[in-house]
Amino acid sequence: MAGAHALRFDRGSLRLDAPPTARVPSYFVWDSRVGAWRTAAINHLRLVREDAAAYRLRLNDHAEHFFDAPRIRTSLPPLRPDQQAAIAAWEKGGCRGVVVKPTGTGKTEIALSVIARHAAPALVVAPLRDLMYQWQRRIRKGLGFDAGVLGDGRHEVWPITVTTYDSAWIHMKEIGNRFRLIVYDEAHHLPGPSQHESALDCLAPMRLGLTATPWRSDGRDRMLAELIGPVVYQEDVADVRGRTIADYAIVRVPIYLGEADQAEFDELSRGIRRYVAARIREDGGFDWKDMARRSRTDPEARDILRRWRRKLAIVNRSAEKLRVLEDIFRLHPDEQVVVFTASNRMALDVSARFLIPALTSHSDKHERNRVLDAFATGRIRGLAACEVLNEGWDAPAVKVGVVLGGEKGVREAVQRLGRLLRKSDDRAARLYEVIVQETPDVARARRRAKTDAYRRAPRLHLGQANQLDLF
Amino acid sequence: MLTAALRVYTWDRPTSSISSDRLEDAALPSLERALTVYRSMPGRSRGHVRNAARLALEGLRPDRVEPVVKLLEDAASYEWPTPRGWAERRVRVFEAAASRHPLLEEGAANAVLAETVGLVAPSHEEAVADLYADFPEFHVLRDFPRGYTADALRADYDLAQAQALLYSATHVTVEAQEDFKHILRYARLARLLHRLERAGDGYRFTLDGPNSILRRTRAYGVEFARFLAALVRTRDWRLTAEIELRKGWRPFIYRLSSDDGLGAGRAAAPVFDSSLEETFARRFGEERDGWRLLREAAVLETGRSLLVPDFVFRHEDGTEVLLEIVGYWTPEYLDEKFRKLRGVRAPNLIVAVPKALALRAGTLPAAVVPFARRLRVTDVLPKLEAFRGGGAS
Repeated sequence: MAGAHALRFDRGSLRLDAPPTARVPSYFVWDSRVGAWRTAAINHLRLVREDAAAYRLRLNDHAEHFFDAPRIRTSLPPLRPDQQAAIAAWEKGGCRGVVVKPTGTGKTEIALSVIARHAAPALVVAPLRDLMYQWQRRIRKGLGFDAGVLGDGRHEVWPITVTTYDSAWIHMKEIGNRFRLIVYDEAHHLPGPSQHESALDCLAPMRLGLTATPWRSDGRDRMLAELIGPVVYQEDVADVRGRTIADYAIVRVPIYLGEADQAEFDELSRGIRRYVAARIREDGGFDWKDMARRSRTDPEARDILRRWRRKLAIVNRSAEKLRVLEDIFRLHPDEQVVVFTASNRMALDVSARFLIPALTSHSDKHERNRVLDAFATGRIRGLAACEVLNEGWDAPAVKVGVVLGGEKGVREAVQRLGRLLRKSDDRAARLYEVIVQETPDVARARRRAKTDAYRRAPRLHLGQANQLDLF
Repeated sequence: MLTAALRVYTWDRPTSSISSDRLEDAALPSLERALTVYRSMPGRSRGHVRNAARLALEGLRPDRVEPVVKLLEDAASYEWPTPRGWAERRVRVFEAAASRHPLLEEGAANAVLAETVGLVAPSHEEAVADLYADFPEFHVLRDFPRGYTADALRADYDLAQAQALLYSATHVTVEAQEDFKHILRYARLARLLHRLERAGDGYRFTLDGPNSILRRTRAYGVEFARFLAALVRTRDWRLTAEIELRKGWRPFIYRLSSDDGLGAGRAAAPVFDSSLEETFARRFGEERDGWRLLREAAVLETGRSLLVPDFVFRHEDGTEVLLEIVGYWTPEYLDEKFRKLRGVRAPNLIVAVPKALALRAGTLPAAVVPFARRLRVTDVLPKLEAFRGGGAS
């Protein structure tokens, strides 16, 4: 094409080989290093759809280098009306937008169905390694396609590929022109300070965001509209309770440290309080944050930090927690139980004591898949998991969950709960929260109680729970 | 390399400057103790070794402990059972236990362990370590390099901290007097783009990536870190980086130079591309007849690409002459070299070529010195002098 300007994908950006005097849209910047115009890859769609004509730019467009349509054999269950409505709304929005639905209401099926309907080479971005592998399993089951894995030491860029937010940020520069569709699972992660660049470095015209909780405490959720598209469909937890999600009750189990642990704990606490009180007398503005800085030079502060870490260790790994767990197993001999722990080490402790599998960030994918399959078919009855299962794990209709301390944020709690509470028959699910009394665990539980979904669940104490339905 | 979580730095608000952590001599005894731990604990689990090393490093500032442990871990070698096989074994235990679930008594659990994997009456700790022997925590230390000294560890720490700070860099500039060919080669190997300008006697290279002109981005931090590891092997450079610790913060300025002695103990860059150059430089000496000899100290633009002549001669009176030596290479290399040289517009360029190529070199816009086997200083000096009176002969 004579007189046309070459447009290429160049490591996460679009490079337009036109002279510096050419009239180009304002999002192009002249790059003297290479003697060409440059803009973010995300602008490709609006450039070719509208602006090229408006600016009378004749393009010799080599930017897209999409994979051929993946060969899939679909075996998806029929979509429910709410899922159909979500897909319709997304397509009506020009195949760009965010679908907001609570955990456990079939967001994965929506994405799989979109990939199938549009026969699109797709990149699926998930927040964690484990969820990446879970997507890989779901894609194999629902679409009959072996998806490539990008991240976790693997570099398989195939017509359907799964990856994590971090890996997407690092690798999109190289692969941003290979996919027609990009799916962001748990899309509220995307507006992170650097992670959002994966959406800029990619020219996929079709973009789907999935989340239960689009809001972010830093207010950056507005960026989602630019990076993916506007919210095209929204459904609240309240709408689905009793429909796809079972009722559930929370049983709080306060435990007390053993005598020796308690004595050490108190001694450590006293030391810390004394130190902090003394610093506050010196300097009214002193707070915990100053401690870390001080510890660089002040050996006493260093010692206090060590005491504090020791305190946490006592709370996170008390033998008492294992004993309470024994009681819970005793109460539910016939049900499958999932135990969430605050640390990898606690998960291993639970595993070795009760001989149930532990899934931690170190577990390899074959073991994970095997364990999850065995759990799904009921061949294995219990599972200990550290934070790795925190978001969006499809648990097979678990009725009993145990949280052994260790919570971080509100969103996590919602999603942990949502995952546990899948409806399979009419029996209510039960969530045990094992908390060390009067320790940081209690403060965490208090924070968690502020979450919307959590607040609506009936709250029981162990005593009441026993009277209520004695399991 | 360290992860971003392990870096240690200090900043100064008023001057907006930041520096990466460096260990003082006072830290050496602690490092020595930690090295002794690693040397003396083969056969122990990684968790044990690491904790022992942490204890040995108690005298160190606490924020320095983990990065030092990481570097020690990088140097150590561990062994562990194949994860696949061990996971199979583990799942066998769990499946055997499932039929008796829940195992309320510890004795019941031990019975399963004895039957399935022959582990007899282990303590709780032993049971965990056996079931999860393939997990990093329980890997067994096999070996640690004997020759790794506290000084070498300190040098690695200082460089690793400097590299890790560059993860947050948005731009890097390097000013240098010579070694340009190496600097450009390292930048290209690290997949960075550059802009070039004269700065005093030398040049300033501004390095970043394709997207850097669209937005401030930290996406090239790892590339900068990789580049630094190579840069420290060259001579006489000053690096300035803009560091963005957090989005929206005013950037800090990070300065480093060859005087900081980073990368001590690393092999220096090979000084010469060929023995031809080396012999010539040795025979010429640092200075002769008022001419000072500098290596790779000028950059010529030839169309889109750059050419760094092998030597620059700088006379006391300010005359500057460039010398490029074309050695015995493949025909493709020679074609490319001649193509580049023909594009050069430099009035004071000498090209030295093997006699066999002298005819071909006649068309070049430069003074040509043919040589047989080696380039003689006595052949080059008259050509240099010819430039002093204004213009080539």
